[in-house]
Amino acid sequence: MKKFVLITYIFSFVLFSSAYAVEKYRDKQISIEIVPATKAIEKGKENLFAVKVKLTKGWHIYWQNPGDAGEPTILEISTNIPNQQKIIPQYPVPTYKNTSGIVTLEYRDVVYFPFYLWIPQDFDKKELEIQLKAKWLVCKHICIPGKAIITKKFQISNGNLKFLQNNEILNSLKFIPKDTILGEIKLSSNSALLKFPLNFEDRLHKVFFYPITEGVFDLELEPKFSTNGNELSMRLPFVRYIWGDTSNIEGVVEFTFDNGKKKYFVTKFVK
Amino acid sequence: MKKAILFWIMFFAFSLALLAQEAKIDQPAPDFKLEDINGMDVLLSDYSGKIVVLEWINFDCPYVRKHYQSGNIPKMQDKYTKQGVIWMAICSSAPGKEGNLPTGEIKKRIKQYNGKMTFYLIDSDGKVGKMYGAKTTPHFFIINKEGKLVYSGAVDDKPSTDIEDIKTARNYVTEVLDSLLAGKNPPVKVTKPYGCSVKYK
Repeated sequence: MKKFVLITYIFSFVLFSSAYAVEKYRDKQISIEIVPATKAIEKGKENLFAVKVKLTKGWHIYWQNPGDAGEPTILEISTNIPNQQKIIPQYPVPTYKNTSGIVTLEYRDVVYFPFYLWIPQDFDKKELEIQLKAKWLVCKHICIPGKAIITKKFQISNGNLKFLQNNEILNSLKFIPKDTILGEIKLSSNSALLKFPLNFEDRLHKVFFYPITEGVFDLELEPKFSTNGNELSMRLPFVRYIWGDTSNIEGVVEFTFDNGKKKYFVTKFVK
Repeated sequence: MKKAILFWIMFFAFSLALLAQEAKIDQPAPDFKLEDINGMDVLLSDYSGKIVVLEWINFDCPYVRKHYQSGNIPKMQDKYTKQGVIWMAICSSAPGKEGNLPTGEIKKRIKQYNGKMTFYLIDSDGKVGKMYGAKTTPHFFIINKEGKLVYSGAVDDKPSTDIEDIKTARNYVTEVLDSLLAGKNPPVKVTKPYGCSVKYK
């Protein structure tokens, strides 16, 4: 009897532990894992990682502003590096989808959310432990909410490992807005006029704005833009029922040039 | 020449009439007629002088299920309809899409959840949903006794599917209804609606 209790206890413990400390989350709709951009994780340098999300065909999750419906994907990273604050990975530019007048900002197929970790030279552990807390809503014809805690350990390189790169992560950096542009905003009764400096050599073909600030802009209507010397003006119509904060507008602006190239910037506007 | 002027006057008048059909906060709520699950035509304007709740619904959406399985929305329906509030649940799911259920199945779910809405209305072409700008299920609109739209948004401030969250959530719909019943101005006018997208055609 004692043996049975002990075996049951050990079995339950192992089962519970493995359910808690998941290295990779996977269900029928989505899989989530932490992947390094290089095989060698090194001290005294900035190491690039990413949260890799793979979605089953037809299914999608949402950007930090999901749009008219859905819920944002929330990712939060913590590590065993002393005094390391929680890290929010970077969100690549989403895909714009208009379904019968309901606009959503989504991710499909495979998406990488990159983040950098500085490992101090005096880091005294052999392994770097990264924990991800993830919360999402995955939708197709139905929506399924999910959450997971994923923990993965990485061996700190002793210099013997070759510097292999994960090109998929490096390629995904193209869709991450880099610099921040500060601009001005003027509000009228039904729209906002956003102005910011512009300094491109290539000829601008199109401008698109993905608002990070939720509940202010009507995403169904494409912004109208004009340029005047080194300044770009963009008029964005308000959504019918405004619930967001109009005094603090933040977003990602997508510039498409005549040569087909694209550039993304985070934009912040002050009145 | 006169004919051309008349045409343009009529064109603008028609355009204005179309614009007036769009629901806006603090403006008269646009009228509509929809059939309920018992085959009865329901006209919004028949309930002028009453507080009316419009609740966009889709029983297959997990956010709607949270509030029905927990009894949260049915209890609100029961409490406020007893005080004279007209509660219209409206389903704008197009045929073949999530939430567009056969009448028998709708009646079964209402009974299962002990739903106490005054009407369950079918808007399968989505015209009323679009007129009101319903984006999610659930999405609430509240019309005061004067016929003005005074609230658009969520049931509460916890956008999750977790039933436990209901206990600590701030319920906007009850706040608005309580203040209207007490003859006061609602404390909120617009909040973020949360849930599944309305499955328009």
